[in-house]
Amino acid sequence: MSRFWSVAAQRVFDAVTRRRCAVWLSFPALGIALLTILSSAGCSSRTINSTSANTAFVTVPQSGISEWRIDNSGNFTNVLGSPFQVGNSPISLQLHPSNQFLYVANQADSTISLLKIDSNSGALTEVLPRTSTPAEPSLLLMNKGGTLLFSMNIAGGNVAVFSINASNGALTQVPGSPFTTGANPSGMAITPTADFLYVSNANQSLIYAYSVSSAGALQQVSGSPFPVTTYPLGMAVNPAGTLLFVANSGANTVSVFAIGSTGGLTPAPLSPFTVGTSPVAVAVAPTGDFVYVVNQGSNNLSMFSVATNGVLTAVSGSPFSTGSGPSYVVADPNGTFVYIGNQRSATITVYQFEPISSSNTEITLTGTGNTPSTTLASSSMAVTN
Amino acid sequence: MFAGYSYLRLDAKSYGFLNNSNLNGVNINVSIPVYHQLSAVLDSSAHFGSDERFYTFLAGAQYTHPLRNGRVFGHALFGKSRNDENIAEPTTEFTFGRIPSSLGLAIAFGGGYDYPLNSRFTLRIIQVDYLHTKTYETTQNNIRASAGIVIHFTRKKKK
Repeated sequence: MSRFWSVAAQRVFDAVTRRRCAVWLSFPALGIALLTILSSAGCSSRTINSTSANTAFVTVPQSGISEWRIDNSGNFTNVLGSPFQVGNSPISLQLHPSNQFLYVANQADSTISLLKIDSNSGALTEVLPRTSTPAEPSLLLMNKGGTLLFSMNIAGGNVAVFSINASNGALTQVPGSPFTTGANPSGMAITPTADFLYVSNANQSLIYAYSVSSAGALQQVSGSPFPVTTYPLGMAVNPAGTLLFVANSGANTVSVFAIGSTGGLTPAPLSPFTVGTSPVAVAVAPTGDFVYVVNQGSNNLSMFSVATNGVLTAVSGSPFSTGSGPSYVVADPNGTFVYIGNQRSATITVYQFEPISSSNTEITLTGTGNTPSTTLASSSMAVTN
Repeated sequence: MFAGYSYLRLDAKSYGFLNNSNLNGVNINVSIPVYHQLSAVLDSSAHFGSDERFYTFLAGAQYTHPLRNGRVFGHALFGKSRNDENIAEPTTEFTFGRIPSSLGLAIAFGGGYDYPLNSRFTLRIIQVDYLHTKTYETTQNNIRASAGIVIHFTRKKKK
């Protein structure tokens, strides 16, 4: 090796002594040489060592969109530039499956912001102008394919449906939109295949069921609306599209419905199931084996295993404590973590899946101790795959 | 005086990037003999990426020792770093600017190997530094590698 360097040095020496400008010419040569060495060590491109880190986006109505990277231990790292500003009172968001676009409902503006996501820095850049919606959008949903966006609008008592341009993320309202639903809708859920959309109405204690055409048109299904226990709020559908879970805030229960082939709802055996005080939101684990219910009044999270017929069984350790005023729950798409947004304490509680038997059929949640602060109350969250 | 190409492995994950960054640039430093093999060093580097610029301004001490036909050296440097990431932020509701750059602490520990070409020029075959910086309210653990030419402005005394 020393012979190599001696020869190399001698050649550089010869060049230098022959022509002075060769000194400057040697700089890029040295650079190329060093780059070659680094390339062989795996450092040739600007971005290497891709990680499995997820990215979390959170709406904070008083400040914008907060964004974090989440490592494999559930630790949050603030993304440079976060929080990113959007319209007034961002209340709900949806992440496009491509992870390139983020949609945010600005409740006070009655608009939807489209933000492009930088794949490396994570920086959000809003594409203007914003898209208008009917009055007071409060909840966004997207179909799994990322072709349709649904906006539930409280003041208008309707659901606006937008088609999504796959290349640039632009929204276009579909013909017939917005579609009228009961006054003051309170929750919304969609089946994974986007065949059926469900809208809960807390004041009426009803669930409106709609079939969804490929173009995004909504048509109420036979038998809709379906009665449910007192004051339904958050809802979720399992990945198989066979069960609908409804948080009944006024009854401290969660209802489970079987979804028929035409979108009709039939109560599951033993439904409703008792949870904590004032349940407000529901999420289903990516496997569909477990369901989470956030209890805002008792500051905890109920977790159940789900039988095929919809019967729920509380898992070991349930309910799990949260921060003050939990208002939403998000299941990590990888199935590793569960995130609970706490409005009053302005924090996010992070739990990790923990098998309690060697067969992994029994699961509990273990607190990671990570409680990133949102500084101000947050209202919704999305996590990348 | 040393001048040459420099590579920086920037710990951009510390402030939320998905990947660390590989930046290319220049490194210049001036070494002034103080006592025997001990020198005072002023060091500056600038590194650039597609949307990133990273500068360091350092000063410290360097120890040099003969090794085979060349000289090995080690140094400890302290100073400031400036990190300038091109992240958009709204300046008004409908216009965008970019977030301000960030100035913070920088500490470097490293060394390298010089191979003399003649009494005027020395080839710095490699210099590697662990560069600890603090910008954008986070700490970064970076690696800097440089290579180039050392130009001597004082002639050696003839025997």
